[in-house]
Amino acid sequence: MSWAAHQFEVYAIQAHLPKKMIGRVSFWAIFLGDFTPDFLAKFWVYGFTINGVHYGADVPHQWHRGFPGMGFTHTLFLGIALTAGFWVWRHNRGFAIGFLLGYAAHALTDINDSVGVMLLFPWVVNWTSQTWAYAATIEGGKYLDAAAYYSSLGLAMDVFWLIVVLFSWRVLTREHWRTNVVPADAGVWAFLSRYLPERGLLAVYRSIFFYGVCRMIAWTSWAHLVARPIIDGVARIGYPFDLSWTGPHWIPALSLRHVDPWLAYPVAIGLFALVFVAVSKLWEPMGRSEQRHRAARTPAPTPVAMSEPTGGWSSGSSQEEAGEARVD
Amino acid sequence: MAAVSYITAGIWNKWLLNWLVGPVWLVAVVCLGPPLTTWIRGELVGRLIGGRR
Repeated sequence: MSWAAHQFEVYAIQAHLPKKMIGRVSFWAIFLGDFTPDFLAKFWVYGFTINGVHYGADVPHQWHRGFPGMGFTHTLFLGIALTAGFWVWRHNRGFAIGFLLGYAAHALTDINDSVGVMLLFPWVVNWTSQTWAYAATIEGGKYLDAAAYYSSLGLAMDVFWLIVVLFSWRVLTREHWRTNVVPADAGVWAFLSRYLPERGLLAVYRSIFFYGVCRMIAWTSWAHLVARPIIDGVARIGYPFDLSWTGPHWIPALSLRHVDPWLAYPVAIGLFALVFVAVSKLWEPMGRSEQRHRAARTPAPTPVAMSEPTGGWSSGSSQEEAGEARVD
Repeated sequence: MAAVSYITAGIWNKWLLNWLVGPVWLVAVVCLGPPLTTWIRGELVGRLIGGRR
């Protein structure tokens, strides 16, 4: 599994949207798409203990990524199905596309651990590059999982996504938020603006990045400076780093039935490219369909002599704000 | 300020390191920090002036 990478990739996607989608794809949908797989599956992976009784998955990695289990939550299959559901329900192109991109990013990033994901579900075989060891176990829980991840190439993956975002640093600026993020989610930001000043709204936008950076530093610091593990019978100050493939060596890399790891990266990158091409091709037809549905839902406007000033914030639809009334 | 305090608190209280507390921490510091600072500064100045009298 990946940790802070999932927070950073939300901004990486936001920063690298195709030109025609800039200011029109919902940031919150990207976040929701990226967040949903673990929201659905992860609570039971670590489980919880009350009065010495552990409640959780008997085999955490099978539950998280396998089938039977909740492994289907980390597949493009469910991402596409949920996106289709949102589209049929709301006919909101910016939300549907954002959700799919976020979901795909999460599912495809998770091929890196030794368990991987069922990329081509319903084909029940995992795809993994085995870049680092999947370490969620009942005994070790979240702490050992974090220690293993931040001692392995998992840390490198988090840093990689952080660098991607930092190279696109404008995505974190007030100007980008005002011009590209707010128009795509005008209703949400207008609602939040009732309770928060602008600096608070900007903090809300940046908060997922903030959380990613902080959790990466905090867990890494704890694992290497604070923790006092006993590994192979030797008491240590901090868990040892091991940046070798499928590391760290001091924990067994859990796995499920999978394809040849050499196939994982080409197929995952190919699938992500396919998703991008598909959403690019669908963008205009979905826009026309959205317009038709909106026109069908909206009663004929009555003429108004003067329009009232909105005072800066508008709860109007994103597409109207962004001039989407022009059919693409 | 928000990052340093959250990381420090998170290292010693790892239950804070979750997707809800993290974002709320930043928003709380950004929104409550300036008025709180102003209020504390006002209190200190008030006591200082009161003390001189």
